[in-house]
Amino acid sequence: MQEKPLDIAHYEILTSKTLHKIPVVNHVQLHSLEDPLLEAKKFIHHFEKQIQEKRNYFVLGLGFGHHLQQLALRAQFYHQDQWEMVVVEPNQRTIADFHLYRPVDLGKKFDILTGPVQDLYSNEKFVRFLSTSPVLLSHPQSIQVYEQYFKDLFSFRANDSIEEIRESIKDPHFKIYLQQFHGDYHLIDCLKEVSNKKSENKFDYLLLTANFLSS
Amino acid sequence: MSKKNVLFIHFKRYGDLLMLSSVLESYRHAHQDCSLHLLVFEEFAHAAEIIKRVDKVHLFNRQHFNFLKKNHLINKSYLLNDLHSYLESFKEYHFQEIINLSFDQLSMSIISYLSPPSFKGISFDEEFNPKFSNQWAFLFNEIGTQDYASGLHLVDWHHLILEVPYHRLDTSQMIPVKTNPSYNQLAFEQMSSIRKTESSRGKNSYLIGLYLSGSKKEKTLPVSTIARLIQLIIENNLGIPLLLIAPLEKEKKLANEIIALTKEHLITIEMDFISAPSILFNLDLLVTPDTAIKHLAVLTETSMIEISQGMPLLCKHGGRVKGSLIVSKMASMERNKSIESITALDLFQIILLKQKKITLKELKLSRQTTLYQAEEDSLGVFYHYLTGNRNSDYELSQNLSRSLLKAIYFHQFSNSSLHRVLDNFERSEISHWLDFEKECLTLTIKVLLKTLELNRASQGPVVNTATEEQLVMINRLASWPMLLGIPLKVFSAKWANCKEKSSSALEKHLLELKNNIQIYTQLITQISNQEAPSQRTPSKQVHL
Repeated sequence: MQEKPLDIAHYEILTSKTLHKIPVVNHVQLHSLEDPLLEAKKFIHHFEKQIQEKRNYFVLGLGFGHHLQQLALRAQFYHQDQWEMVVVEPNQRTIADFHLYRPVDLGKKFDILTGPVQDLYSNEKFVRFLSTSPVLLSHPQSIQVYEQYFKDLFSFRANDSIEEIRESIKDPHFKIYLQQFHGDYHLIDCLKEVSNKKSENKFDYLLLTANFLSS
Repeated sequence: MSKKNVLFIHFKRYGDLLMLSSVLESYRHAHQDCSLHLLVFEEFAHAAEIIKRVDKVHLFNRQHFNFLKKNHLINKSYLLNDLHSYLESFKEYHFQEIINLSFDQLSMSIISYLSPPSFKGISFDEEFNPKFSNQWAFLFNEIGTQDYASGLHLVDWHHLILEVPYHRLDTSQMIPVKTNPSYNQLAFEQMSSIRKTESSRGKNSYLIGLYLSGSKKEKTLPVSTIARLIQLIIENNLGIPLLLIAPLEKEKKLANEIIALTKEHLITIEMDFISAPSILFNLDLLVTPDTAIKHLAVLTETSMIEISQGMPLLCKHGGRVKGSLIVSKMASMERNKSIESITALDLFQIILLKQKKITLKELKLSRQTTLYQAEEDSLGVFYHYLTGNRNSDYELSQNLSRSLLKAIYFHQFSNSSLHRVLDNFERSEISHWLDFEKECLTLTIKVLLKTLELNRASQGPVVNTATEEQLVMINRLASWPMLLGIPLKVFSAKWANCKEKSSSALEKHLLELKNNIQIYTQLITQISNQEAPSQRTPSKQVHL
């Protein structure tokens, strides 16, 4: 699936009444021009229970990080340094300006990821982070501006052909084993093929283990 | 010389894991030179970590693997890489033996991948069929999970599969779970203080721990029932009710609801797996619907009234302390559909019985409620009917399945144990049960002889269609709720697992079935010949 490029017709940085820098994209203010801190506090308050229960937070939309700062404060309160935050921001210009203006200080406790959706899922660190079932926080203004990007982020379907899987298999013996299957096969097809013959390889049972995981 | 590493795979929940501790105790006693490792699902780690005989607990994070498997966002290479590196990590321990008591396909796949020099339980063969380590593993898989043929307790099945005798710890020895000495001290001091305070007020200081919730909704008693029971205990000065809960918000809420309903100043005790034994040591009586706490109470030898509602079956999963009382909804195939709960009055009377304030004859249980007592015979623990409503056909099949297994597999015909079972039933109940079994026997013999005849008439590499049709009939008979179902189920499973499908191979299996049916017939004859007491006074003895 080909992703559509970001449609950014308008981009500017304004200053709020509280003297905070606020990016405005396609005429949508990513934070309040009145009081971005108060707005961010209210937003994060909705997630209080989840922040307390979990230590990993997945945020959609960087904005200028006021919501992230509030999140970091609550996470630090509940978990001291034992928490992690990953932010996905589609607009590289916003990221560059965020680093330039340094509107908030978040320390080193977070990663900002950007770029095509497919590339994100090729990032092992990101996948490992997702596998921890983090709390999902969608920054409303960012979602409004980059709706399609975030839709693509969650409707993505990984290519699960054996050919694609084989590419990323680390163990060389296992990689060779997978070569016996047609490249277009999925795991379920491999299992069918394996179960119709006598097992000659321990990796047959590895595929079986994967198959019986949820039973 | 370094110790031999042995891995137990046990993908079960809390209760079954705690039950495993006595199996590990016996295994360790029989194999002193081994280091025991235990592989469990990560979410049940708390239970595994308190089992004393385990040298190392390995955790299987199935949520992680399932996330990688089911998430369409992520390429399946992550799943395969992670599974591979996880399973390979076991190689460093050079396990001499892997024991799979899980009997599920996941554990079978893992044991097959690890391919140890020796295994016990169940694995896959090279054609992905089940491979059993002995006949008990086979029998457990085929009949141990069946209701009408599962008269053996899970722990006893496990001992048979492992081929180790049950090693009983005497009371002077340590219990098979880890405890925290400071918790033991604290629990003792606090419980003593509660007793002292209540005694000084002239109250009965008998401590009754009420564990509030079961692992499933259908196992948990309604709040109103627990509240009423507490009121009955207090009004009749039977002791001090203590509300026992897990440290979970929903259980705290439940305790508060009960306190609000009773309007009493009740003591609530939060306990986790490490502190629970310390609490249980100090109770005079535990009343529990929860399987995990029940098995912990077995290990601490706490006097207990077990509430058995819903699945799994009492006969396989009940508490194992000799003399402990189990109150259950009437046992039948439909028991998990029961909507009526055990009442507060039922439990109140059983506490009175436990305290020897009433006799068994005076006990009047509510409809469809049965009281059992754990007892032992040469096959291990079974549950002896004491009083209440019962499905006599079901109970007779359950009880006599032990006699049949003994006769077939140990060649033991014990008149005394047969008497013990039959003494508990009215003559009419036995006759009714016998009539059905005999009717089934006549039919089964006809089908068997016809199958033998048809099979002999067509010797060949595969059995003919007419014989196949007969085999379908045997399968159908095997599913009937009768004791005779045991040899029939064993036959059907053996034939299904048999790789050679020739008529000569079938003949061999049919002759084995015939032989087992002869043993069954001997047992039925023995039962028929038993002198049925005219005015039967069941020989019930309650060990309190």
